[in-house]
Amino acid sequence: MALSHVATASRSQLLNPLTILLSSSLRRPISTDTTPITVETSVPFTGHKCEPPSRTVETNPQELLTFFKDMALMRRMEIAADSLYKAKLIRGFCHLYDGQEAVAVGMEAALTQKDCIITAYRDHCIFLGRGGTLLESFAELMGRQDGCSRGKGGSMHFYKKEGGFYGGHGIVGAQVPLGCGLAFAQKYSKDENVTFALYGDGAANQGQLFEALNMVALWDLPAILVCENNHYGMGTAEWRAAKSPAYYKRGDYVPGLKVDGMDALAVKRACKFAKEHALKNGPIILEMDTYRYHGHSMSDPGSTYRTRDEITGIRQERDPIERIRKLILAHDLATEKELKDIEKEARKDVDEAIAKAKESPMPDPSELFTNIYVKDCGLEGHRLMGKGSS
Amino acid sequence: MATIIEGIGATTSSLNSDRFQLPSRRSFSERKGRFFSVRSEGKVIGGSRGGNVSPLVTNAVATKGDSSTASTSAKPGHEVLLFEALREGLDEEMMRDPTVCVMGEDVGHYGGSYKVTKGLAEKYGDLRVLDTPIAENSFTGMGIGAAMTGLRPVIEGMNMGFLLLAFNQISNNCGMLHYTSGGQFKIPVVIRGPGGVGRQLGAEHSQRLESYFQSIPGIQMVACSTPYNAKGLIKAAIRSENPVIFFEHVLLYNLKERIPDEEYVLSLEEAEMVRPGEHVTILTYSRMRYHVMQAAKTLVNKGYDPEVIDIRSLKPFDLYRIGNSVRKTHRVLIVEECMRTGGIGASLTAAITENFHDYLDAPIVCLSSQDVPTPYAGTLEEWTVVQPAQIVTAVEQLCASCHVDCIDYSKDYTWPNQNKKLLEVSSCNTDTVLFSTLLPNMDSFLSMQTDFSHESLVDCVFTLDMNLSECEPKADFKQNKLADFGTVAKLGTVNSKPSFNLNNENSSIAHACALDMSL
Repeated sequence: MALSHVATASRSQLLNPLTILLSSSLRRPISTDTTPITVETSVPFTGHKCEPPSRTVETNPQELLTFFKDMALMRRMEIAADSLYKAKLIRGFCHLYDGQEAVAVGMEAALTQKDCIITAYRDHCIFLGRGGTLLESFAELMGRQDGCSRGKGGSMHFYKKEGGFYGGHGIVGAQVPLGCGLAFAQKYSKDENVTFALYGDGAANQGQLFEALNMVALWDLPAILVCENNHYGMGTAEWRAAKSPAYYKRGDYVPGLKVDGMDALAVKRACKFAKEHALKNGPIILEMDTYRYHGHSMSDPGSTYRTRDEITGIRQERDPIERIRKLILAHDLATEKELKDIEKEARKDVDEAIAKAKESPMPDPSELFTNIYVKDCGLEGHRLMGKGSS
Repeated sequence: MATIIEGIGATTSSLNSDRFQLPSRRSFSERKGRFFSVRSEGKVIGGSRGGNVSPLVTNAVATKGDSSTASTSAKPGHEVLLFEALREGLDEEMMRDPTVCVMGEDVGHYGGSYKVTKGLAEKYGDLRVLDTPIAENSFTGMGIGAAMTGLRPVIEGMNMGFLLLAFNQISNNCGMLHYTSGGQFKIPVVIRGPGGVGRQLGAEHSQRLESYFQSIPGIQMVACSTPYNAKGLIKAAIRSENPVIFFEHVLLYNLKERIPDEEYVLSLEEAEMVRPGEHVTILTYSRMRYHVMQAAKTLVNKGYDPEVIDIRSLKPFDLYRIGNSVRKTHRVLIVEECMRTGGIGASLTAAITENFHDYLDAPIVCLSSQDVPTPYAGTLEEWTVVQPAQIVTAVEQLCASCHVDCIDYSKDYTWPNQNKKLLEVSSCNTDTVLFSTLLPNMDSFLSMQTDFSHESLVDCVFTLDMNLSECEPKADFKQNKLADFGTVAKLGTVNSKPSFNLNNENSSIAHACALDMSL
């Protein structure tokens, strides 16, 4: 149905009766409308040693609604994790991603599951984007058997092999050389996929990052290094830790792009651009200008090194979910109520998942010793030979 | 009454006077001696079944290639130096499996700083034999990340000491990822490189990292020592699904040996029996194997029969073979190049004590390097590592104590290496056991500790203090729980030799007593 020539006003009238019918009888499905919509990103991209892409992005209602739904789910999950932590069901370290959801969904929209993503410890939402389920996520956080790492990893060690998600790492910066290795393997097998290695503004000062950068650039590995700059390395603001907080320029000989990380469409555009660049011209650095509402982790209130006004300010002006909501409403793709329903749905899903995760048992004591070594610990020489074995 | 029980290999030639015997340990129920002789053989693929393909290398003592065997076409196999054996192993594995790749500093065009990877870059290309920049932390991480996707990198540290910079990657990502991901990711990497004390290379280039890495869960560690086991072990390490840290030694690269032409793979967790023996188990690995074998030559000339085992597998220890040996010899000497503190020897001592304490006649002796940075000066460097002379002394001291278990009154017991009778059981009946001690006439103090135990496991300890130069027993008893068993009936001399009688209220004592004596 070619609706592109129909004025927005008349289209909304066509849609409304349908939606009323649908919402009253069934759970509302995501719109399958793929009519292109053109949007401008909030701010233009800034490039370093490369020509930045234009700020006009093409999207469609289905995508926007998917973004909304996914981000609402991620936001809900993180807030629920907050409550679970305070209820002492989640222990240890818990680093929450709310505020940064746009990076996760925008990146996912630009990639396939064959591409690899590797990140640090703020990994719950990226895990979800890569195909992880809420149950796996909550069960892992609570240390239960049904967790994605069988309860043995915890918040900082989510992995999803089938989804191309390589974790989940606790030591700041150590995941970047690993990401370099993923890209190396991709080049080795010549499979035209890329690796996105995410790190934070704090990790941007790690030596191993520059070592890895040198190697990916030297050997033209299909790696994209993504700096999720939320402006605080735990309690230290970026200007107090880095002489040059222009992280996208830090690659020097490696091109870089600065992106508004609170705009999911800008993120998607940038990641697509980066993927093409990596496959043709080699590695590129993306700096996502984003923000986290929570503190560094659950043990950090997040207010001793920044003002509450700053946090509320960002929430009012740059919140990623609000931006998509406004976009959807402006283009009349759904009503306010429908969007609220989606959020309610997300809440319900999360609550169900938590209930189910709570029922999941703790790992069996024998699990303490599983997965230390792969089953065939070492190699028995005599197993190898067919003829000569005893 | 006295019959001499021959140990394995004893002959009735005149040399016999120099060969000494120790009684075998018996259990309470059976009185037969059991000897274990365990050999570790790499079996050959497609070769003759169970054949002992390569003879035990007992003469590869020199660190330079020695002229032990002239290469003749009639002999099977081919001669290689150790670094060539490693290269052969790498080459074969790279040919066999396209996911095997090598990365490290100067491994490609330069051919490897110890020539292990020479020629491989020309054969397999720059991507499969990758020259990395000097960035140990990140290229080790890179190898591990590549392994997560299914590649099998062999990461070379130009010197093991440099891998300290990659400790985080090795410990957290290499060792632990399989566990923290709940089994989703395997890390089949091999991290290899030369370590150990070389020739005046200085402190930072003479490090032994096996002690630092040994606590990391999830990794395996092996140390090669001969061309034969180097090739077999590197192949096994590459094929293993677990991360393996492969320790080579800077001074062993030029060892020459004849290895089979056929393909062979050794087991990563097996220890190697270098020289079977009876009197003492010497556990060693890597370069110290050669110091031990050199000491063994001297020891054999002095009449000792050491059993030398190259443990090879540093994590996990091959406690099966080690245990068999301890059960046979009852004495353990560990010779290692690690530092004394927290070294491989320390862990091995703990493991053996925990598992085989009952079989030990003497505390385990561990000879390690001094806890110092390796100095540059040649003489000082020599004193940091264990030298053959120290090994000989340690064995002599270790064998100077003797444990006799379950007195068999039909036997004579002799001191090690002195062919002097230790103890003679003059008579034994259900009530009394009369021991006569036949000790060298030395002005030394003998303390005899006697363990008694019967079904209710009550222990009874005597200490008998005898001044032998006076040939008159000076009884200085320390008794514990004597009342449970009986009393010492008489202390006197029999044939001018000090002796004592024990009244035995419990007939099982005749079967169940053990004597510990030291000279």
